[in-house]
Amino acid sequence: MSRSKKIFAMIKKGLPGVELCRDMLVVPPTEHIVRGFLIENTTEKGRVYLWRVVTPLHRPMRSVILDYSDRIPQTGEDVYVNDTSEDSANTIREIIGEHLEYLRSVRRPQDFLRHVDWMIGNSSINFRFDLALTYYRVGDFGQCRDILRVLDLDVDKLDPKRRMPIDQLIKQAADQIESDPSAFGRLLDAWENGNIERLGLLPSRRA
Amino acid sequence: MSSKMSAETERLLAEAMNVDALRHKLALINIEAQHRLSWYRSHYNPDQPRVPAGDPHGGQWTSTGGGGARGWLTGAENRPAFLTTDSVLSDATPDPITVWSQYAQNESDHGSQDPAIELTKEILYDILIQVNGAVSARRDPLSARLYGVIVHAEFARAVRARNLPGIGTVGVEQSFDPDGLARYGLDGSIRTDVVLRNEQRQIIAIYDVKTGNATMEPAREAKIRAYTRVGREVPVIILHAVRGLGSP
Repeated sequence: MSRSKKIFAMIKKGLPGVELCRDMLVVPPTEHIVRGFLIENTTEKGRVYLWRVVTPLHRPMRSVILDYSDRIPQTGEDVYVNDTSEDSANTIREIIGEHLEYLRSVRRPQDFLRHVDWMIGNSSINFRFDLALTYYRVGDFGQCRDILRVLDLDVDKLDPKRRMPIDQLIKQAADQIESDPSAFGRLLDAWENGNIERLGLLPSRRA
Repeated sequence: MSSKMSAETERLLAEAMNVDALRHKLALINIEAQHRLSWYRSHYNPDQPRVPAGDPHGGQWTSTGGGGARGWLTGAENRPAFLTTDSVLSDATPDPITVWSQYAQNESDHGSQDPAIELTKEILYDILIQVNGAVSARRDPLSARLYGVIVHAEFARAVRARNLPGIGTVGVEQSFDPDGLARYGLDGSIRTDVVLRNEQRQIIAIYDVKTGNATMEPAREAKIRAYTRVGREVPVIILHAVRGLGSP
């Protein structure tokens, strides 16, 4: 068992309303957005980065992406976890306790839109793709299609050496929404279900 | 373009004229102030010559045009608390260039016009000078690898402590994989030293610390750009440090 899993298992005992999914402490229920906490190791022994995770599950991912997440405490103090004792668990429990309410409020895609509202205008491909798929999830089919059309062209302009797997997904989504809009939702559901399985989030699926 | 999109654009423009513009302006003022402080402390001279283009170290700062260190601190009292160790600067220390910066040679559009990027570079440069000086002054023998590890760790700590605009405590030691921002240590991921972002969290510059003889290979730069999804317009700036103490 990994160090973070041991620590989170200890935390879970005294903290109702969270679910341990592999080495991530998740705030259930996980629907289209996963919310929770992650421990990231560093090169310095004992020092870790603690993340407050908010990740939309719309597109396939190998592991939880952290583009919309934050390191906590936001004051930037170093967090050390030198063992798997109760002290370490208490330190982390205290930090994450302050963020539970916020994470509970980012449950639906419309909540995620609010969460990233200040990022609107970010022109990176990944962000626009996540935004497009979120628009679809909140029922704004037109916005989704408009963004995907532009992204499709932008991907074509990319240096082939710089293409990432996500670019192929963008092409697939853009093609799908044009050719068979009714099947677009099923594509997103399939991607989301794949993430749920791959990331071990099934225990958090239900509240 | 839908009317909803137009309304959204108008809203964003209005905000840009108000809150964001003010926030950005304040951030720039803050970064400028910190820059001037670093400048004062490091004896920075804006007229200082640089190694000419064409030289392997072209564009980097130099105190004499060919050798000498830039901006050395004159004493331990000027170092931040985390670096005030038992450092001793020897009179016999030669005067090599031990810290310098340059754009990655492969794909960067040199000469960013964004003052935030340039000012941040100067601040990071000054931090690296301080860190490198303190690590180099350590009396315990350090292998080249350990020296590199300590410089990176102390540099990251110092940058986090400064909580610089556009970097904060989050933009330090970030890892990326093909899907996006990832956890350190994931298979195939890369780690950046410092990432500078704008108000929309979009990456506008990447800073990479290299110690000793380490360089950034074109393939490495290409991978950083691919994983962080940035184009040529985003500079990848290398901050070099070699072991040694300079003199003022």
